[in-house]
Amino acid sequence: MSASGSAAALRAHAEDPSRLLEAAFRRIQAETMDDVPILNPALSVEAVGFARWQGHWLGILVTPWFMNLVLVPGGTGSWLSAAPGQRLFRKFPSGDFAFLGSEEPEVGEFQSCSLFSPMGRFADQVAAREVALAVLEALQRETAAAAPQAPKKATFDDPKQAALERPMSKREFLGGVFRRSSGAVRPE
Amino acid sequence: MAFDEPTIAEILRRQGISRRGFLKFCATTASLMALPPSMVPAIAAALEKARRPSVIWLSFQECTGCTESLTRSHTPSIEGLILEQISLDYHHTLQAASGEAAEAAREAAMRENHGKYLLVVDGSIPMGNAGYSTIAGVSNLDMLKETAAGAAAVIAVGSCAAYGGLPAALPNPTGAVPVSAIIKDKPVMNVPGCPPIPVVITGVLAHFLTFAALPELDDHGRPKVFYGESIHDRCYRRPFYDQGKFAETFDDEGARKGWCLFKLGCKGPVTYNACATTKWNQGVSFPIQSGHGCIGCSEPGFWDMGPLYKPLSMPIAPVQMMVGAAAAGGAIAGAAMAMRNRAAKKSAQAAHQKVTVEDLEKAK
Repeated sequence: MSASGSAAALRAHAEDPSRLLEAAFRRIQAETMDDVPILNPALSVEAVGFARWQGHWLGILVTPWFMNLVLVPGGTGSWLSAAPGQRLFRKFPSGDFAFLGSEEPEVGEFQSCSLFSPMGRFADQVAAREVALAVLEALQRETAAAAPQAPKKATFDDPKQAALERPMSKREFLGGVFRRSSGAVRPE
Repeated sequence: MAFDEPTIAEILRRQGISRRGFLKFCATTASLMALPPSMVPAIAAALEKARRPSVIWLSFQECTGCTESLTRSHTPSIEGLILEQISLDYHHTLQAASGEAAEAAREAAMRENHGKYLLVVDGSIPMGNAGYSTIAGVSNLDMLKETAAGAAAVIAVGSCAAYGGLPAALPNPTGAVPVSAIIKDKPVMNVPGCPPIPVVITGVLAHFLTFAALPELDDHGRPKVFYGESIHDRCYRRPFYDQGKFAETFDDEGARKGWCLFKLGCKGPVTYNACATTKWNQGVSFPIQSGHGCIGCSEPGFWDMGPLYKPLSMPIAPVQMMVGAAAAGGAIAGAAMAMRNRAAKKSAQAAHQKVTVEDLEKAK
């Protein structure tokens, strides 16, 4: 699941990826989430409201253990890959949202932004779906009060890159940020 | 403190920090507190005129970890800038004076700045027996009441001052209570954590200096800008949780691959703090990045929430129904918060750089 591996095998979806996402997360639920004590048994895996957004697929994935905003590549051209554990900020009318890279065999690469987890506060699937649709609507609405400061373009939250973009201090030169970023705990 | 004390801007200039560096500092403060850039001139104007604020810091049933957190932050930094600009008139650990002279300093600061000084408290207050914890023969309860009476606002730093903390752990032998249980007639802000993130402490101080008011607080009296979202929601390991990939022990394959620490007792899903975005030691790391689960140290009662290494379990019955627009608004605000924290970190780095190197060299 390295960044270069994902880029080489990037799978773009011409069709709505809802069924594939649901298949992947139903498998995960059956295989590995069995003994996790924070699942909400009133909920099930469901992809809600997937539609085209800037050439890709944007929607919400509801599961018994999380509700995420999910972005799936709809074309290879404008897709920016994010390695697992790396934050990628994407612009929406309501603000800028941090997405994390992920990958499953059924879907290939995709990115998600957490909305709710755990899911204990949803009474049933109808309530979860209703909130998901409201989120998708609120996302595209300009909310001056809630809007955080925007960067000029979608950017990576990469300390190494940030460090290269500014002059290096003596402290950093003497073994700070550069050595640190390469030695950080990172998933393979 | 005499009235001809220099203003904060004057002190900064005397230390060789240029006007531009000062404005950078103001911009950092604005972004740290998630204020729009248009607020920067207002912050600059307020700090230009502000005299060194008097701060009285009282330590009750505590371990000095909160003071360590604040004073061990790298210098020069925004934390350092703030610390040097306040007039810390009383602090057991940091002040040079001792004995009667120390208490005299506290009394003088209270008298000269009545109604204007900030009271910072770390540690909880024993209600069981006044003799459990005293300073110069005065009980913690009496000293808190006496000092809070003339304070503009009270900041409860650390989980002990905010919620009672470890001294309040069952069976709570000293009858420890938080500041908010005693002080009811002043604004009290909680900055919990064991210890709290230093930049959170200084961020709220800067906010108070600029606006003469505390920032917006949540139900637990915490500044929303730092405690608005859970560790879990902004954790870089979050995709592994979503995928059901968990470390089962601290030395298995999952642990080595950096998978989710939920099954090892991580309390990230129920803990609200900025660790996952602001991080510690100037953005170097935070517990989960170092391979250990979150222990939930900024939540009320974390000390009695069961074993640290036992996985969380959730009540099956929904405690509160989540519905449409309100929940959507909360989720959007929460998800957007990560962006603010990132902006704060970036501009803090930039300001640090400009003040310490570029500005000092270019200063006319």
